[in-house]
Amino acid sequence: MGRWFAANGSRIGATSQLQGHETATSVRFGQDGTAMVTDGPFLEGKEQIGGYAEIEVSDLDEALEMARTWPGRGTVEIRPAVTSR
Amino acid sequence: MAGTRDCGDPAGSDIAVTATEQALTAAFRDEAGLLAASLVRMLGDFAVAEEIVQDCLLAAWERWRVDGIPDNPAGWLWTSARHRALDIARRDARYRAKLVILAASCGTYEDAQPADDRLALIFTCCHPALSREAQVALTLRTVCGLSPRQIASAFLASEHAIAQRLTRARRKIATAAIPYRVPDADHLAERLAAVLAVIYLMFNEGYLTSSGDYPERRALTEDAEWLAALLADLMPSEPEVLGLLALIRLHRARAKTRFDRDGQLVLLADQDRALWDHAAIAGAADLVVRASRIRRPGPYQLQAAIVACHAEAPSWEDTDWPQINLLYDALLAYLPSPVVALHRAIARSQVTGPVDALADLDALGGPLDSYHLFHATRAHLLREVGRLAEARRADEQALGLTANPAERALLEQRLTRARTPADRARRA
Repeated sequence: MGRWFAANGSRIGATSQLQGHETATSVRFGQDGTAMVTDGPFLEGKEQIGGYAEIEVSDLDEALEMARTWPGRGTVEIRPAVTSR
Repeated sequence: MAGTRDCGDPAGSDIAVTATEQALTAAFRDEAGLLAASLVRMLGDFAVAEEIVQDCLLAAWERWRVDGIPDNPAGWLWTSARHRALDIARRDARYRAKLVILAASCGTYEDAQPADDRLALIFTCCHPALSREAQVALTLRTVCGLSPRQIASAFLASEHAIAQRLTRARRKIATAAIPYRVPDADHLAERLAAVLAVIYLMFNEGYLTSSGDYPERRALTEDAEWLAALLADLMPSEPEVLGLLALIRLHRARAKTRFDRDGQLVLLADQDRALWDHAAIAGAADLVVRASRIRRPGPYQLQAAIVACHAEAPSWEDTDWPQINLLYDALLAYLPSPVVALHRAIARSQVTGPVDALADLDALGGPLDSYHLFHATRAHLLREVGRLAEARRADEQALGLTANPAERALLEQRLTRARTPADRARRA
């Protein structure tokens, strides 16, 4: 894997390895815009990822607080990254 | 702790042993959550905290049934936890620094009295990032100190499945960094609603299945009441918590009369009200009043108030139906579900008669078409207005929709009894 990253390094931007889908938490928005926190990832078949952001927070509640105020449409999935702590 | 609360010595069936075990069971439930809460706070790790709790409770089970329960059980367990912590620290480098702090944390066990962190523990176990099943299992395991085997027996699941569910939940708490704290005021209402939903689900699971079909099954109603009472102690000014506690107590006070000696379901109208626990009912009704004085109504308070009306009525006929109607109107505003509307229609039929109630029911139709109690209720009202053939069809529909043996028996009995002489003549 290291060799693959070295060979393609010039074309790769930021990367992180994500934890498994069972660690995911999603925030969905109701018709009136209220945020609902649910267990699990949001991807189901035809849904697609519209974008991503890496954030640095101290715990899940802090991430959820950011996700709740997300003004865009659709679901926000929060997934922890593998860290080397 | 598969070997603690449910590992009674098969030979020790005499009364003295039973009394000791009852005392141990009560002490464990009080202490397990306290100890777990303090350890999670200190170690920041559910898995290792639970391992220590399990070992301590096992040691206590062995020791206390011989020596009796010590004067300061929390202190005894805390001392034992420090010993276990040192053992684990020697074995596992990851925890060394934290466990050494724990081991050095207090002097003699007489003055060891860990702070009550159970509220944070409850909110973490019921965090919305965990599935409802995981929330329930984790709360029973960590806050109530139930073994995976006991949880499995309550939900008719395998012990392996429950253990796996617990492991996954703990892993998610660690990996996704679910915080260990009571949520701030902005989110308290929403998060408290999830905690109450978990406790109510436990209660319902225990209540609906307590028909005697599975005598070996653990009844969750007592655990749910204990949890609601704990929460009411920890959050005495949250009216919905008081409402849920009252609701559970009102149901439990009347649970005995729900089935007759043969295990047949007895409808509320036919229950022997003299057998209800009237002291418990009065206490729960006081809780409803106390909650209402806080002036923040909610669905649990309203449901408790409705059940209190039934519980305090001398008979089905002398029930305060107009009051129940008003309460259902208010409840529908919080829980606009067809099932609540069905219950309101039943209450209304007592005030305005079966014809109006049937009209209410027909308006509900669609979404309740696959709900057996909708058809059973319709059958009852149709019979009251003399539309017997339709009543019969509705009862048959209800019968086709439920697998619950007690409910089936009641419906079958009704169908046999309702067979008119004309019917019989036609069949002959």
